[in-house]
Amino acid sequence: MSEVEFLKPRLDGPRFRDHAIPLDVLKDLAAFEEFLISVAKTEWLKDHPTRRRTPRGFMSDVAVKLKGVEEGSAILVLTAFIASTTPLIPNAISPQQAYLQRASEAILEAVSAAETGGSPTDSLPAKTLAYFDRFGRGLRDGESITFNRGDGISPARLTPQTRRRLVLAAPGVTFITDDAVRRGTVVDTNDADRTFTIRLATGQEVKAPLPPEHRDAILDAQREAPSGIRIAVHGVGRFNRSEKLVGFDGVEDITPLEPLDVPARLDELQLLKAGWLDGGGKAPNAISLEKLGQLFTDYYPNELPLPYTFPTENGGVQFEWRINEATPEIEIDLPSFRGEWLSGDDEATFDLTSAEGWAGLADRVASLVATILNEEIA
Amino acid sequence: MKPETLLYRHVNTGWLQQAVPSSQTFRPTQKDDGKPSVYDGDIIGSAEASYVHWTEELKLTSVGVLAVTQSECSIHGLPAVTDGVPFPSHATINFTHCKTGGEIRRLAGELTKLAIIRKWQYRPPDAAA
Repeated sequence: MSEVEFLKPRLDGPRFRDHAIPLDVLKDLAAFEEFLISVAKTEWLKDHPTRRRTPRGFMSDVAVKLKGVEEGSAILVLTAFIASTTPLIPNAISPQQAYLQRASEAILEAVSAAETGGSPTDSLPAKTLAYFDRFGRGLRDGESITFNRGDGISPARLTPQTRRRLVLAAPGVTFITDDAVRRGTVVDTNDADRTFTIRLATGQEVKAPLPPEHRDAILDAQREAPSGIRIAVHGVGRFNRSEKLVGFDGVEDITPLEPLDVPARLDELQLLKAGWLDGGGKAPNAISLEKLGQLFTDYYPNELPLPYTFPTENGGVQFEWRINEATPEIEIDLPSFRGEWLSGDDEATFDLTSAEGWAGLADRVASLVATILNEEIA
Repeated sequence: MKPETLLYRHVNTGWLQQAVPSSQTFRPTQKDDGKPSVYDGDIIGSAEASYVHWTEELKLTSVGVLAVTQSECSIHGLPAVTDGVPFPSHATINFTHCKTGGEIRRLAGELTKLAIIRKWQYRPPDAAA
């Protein structure tokens, strides 16, 4: 058994700052191992043009494992364990190791090409680019995986955007899968097909597999759909080349939504057109609304009351709480995400792009809730 | 206009969620020049009549009609007057003396609170409860 540390990719992004790896990103690493071995086999066949397939068992005794996580956002230590071959010549590398290295170089060259506008198929066969549909799927906007490639060579950086270019570089590929969350009402369930359909705020209907563990929740949501009950579907979405979701390939989670669910309301605000306010009123920017929904989900504490969510004349959003007699509100300018808080005579400004800004807002709301509770107890 | 005269204000579709109107309902918009429009209830006659005028004559959208009185505006230092332009029942609530945006927001919010306490003056038959 030989053990070779061969790659140390660095994960960058807010989720990796504490040197921890979210479990859903580990799925990407599992796909990366399959990817490496597939490309290693392709490299072997290049060297043996008279052979149609690799020798039986070739690469089957190779495993790529995560050996550790180092500091520096999060740096993964990927090690290849090669079970069967100990080279006869000291310090020589085994054929498996050599092909693994070539595979990794080819993959990183393709990533680099996608990033710099080159052609990924110069270094990788087109059919293997499909692996990027799984490798990198767990990355969110603003996140990346960077691979150092030795002295004098620029690092290869995989982002959601480069991943997309890589998948769509393969001829004939019309869809790309990606992590997706969509909110809507359940309009149909089909036990024969084991599917269900949700209607999004836009009116688009999207079909998804019906997972047995979520069947009851989905049926409940369908029954209650006429009264406006919505769910959030989290899973693997299939997108066309125009980045439009055309369906779900898999469902990981179903969440029934509160009537005041903020991201669901922001979905509705995306439908506003310029002039929505009696001929005036700027349409809010869809990307900013998406970002606001994500920030709210990430930073607004679950235990606090949800606000009502309204558009503002200038294309922003106003959250308004009803906490007994108190009616605090925050008017959020988009895309600056600067929030102007107002509660009686209390005014404050929060930068809602930052965790600190959201913490300040949450403190204000929590303080009002505590005051009301204390008054009720007294 | 008498102190008890109802001043009708239409609620925009975007400013209603789960049957709750936004505090922006009485806030002046850019085109109001600090004086949001309302209907003088004594002249238009009823909230329903103002709805018909708003949606059929002016071709604007409304999910319902709220109201404050002239005296409620006055208590908050907001003069309300009937100007009759561009239609006879047209009136305005004057926010122009407010020194800051925060003051405008606060006073508009107070008017919305009072209007909500008074409850809907009219809702079209197809509006949600």
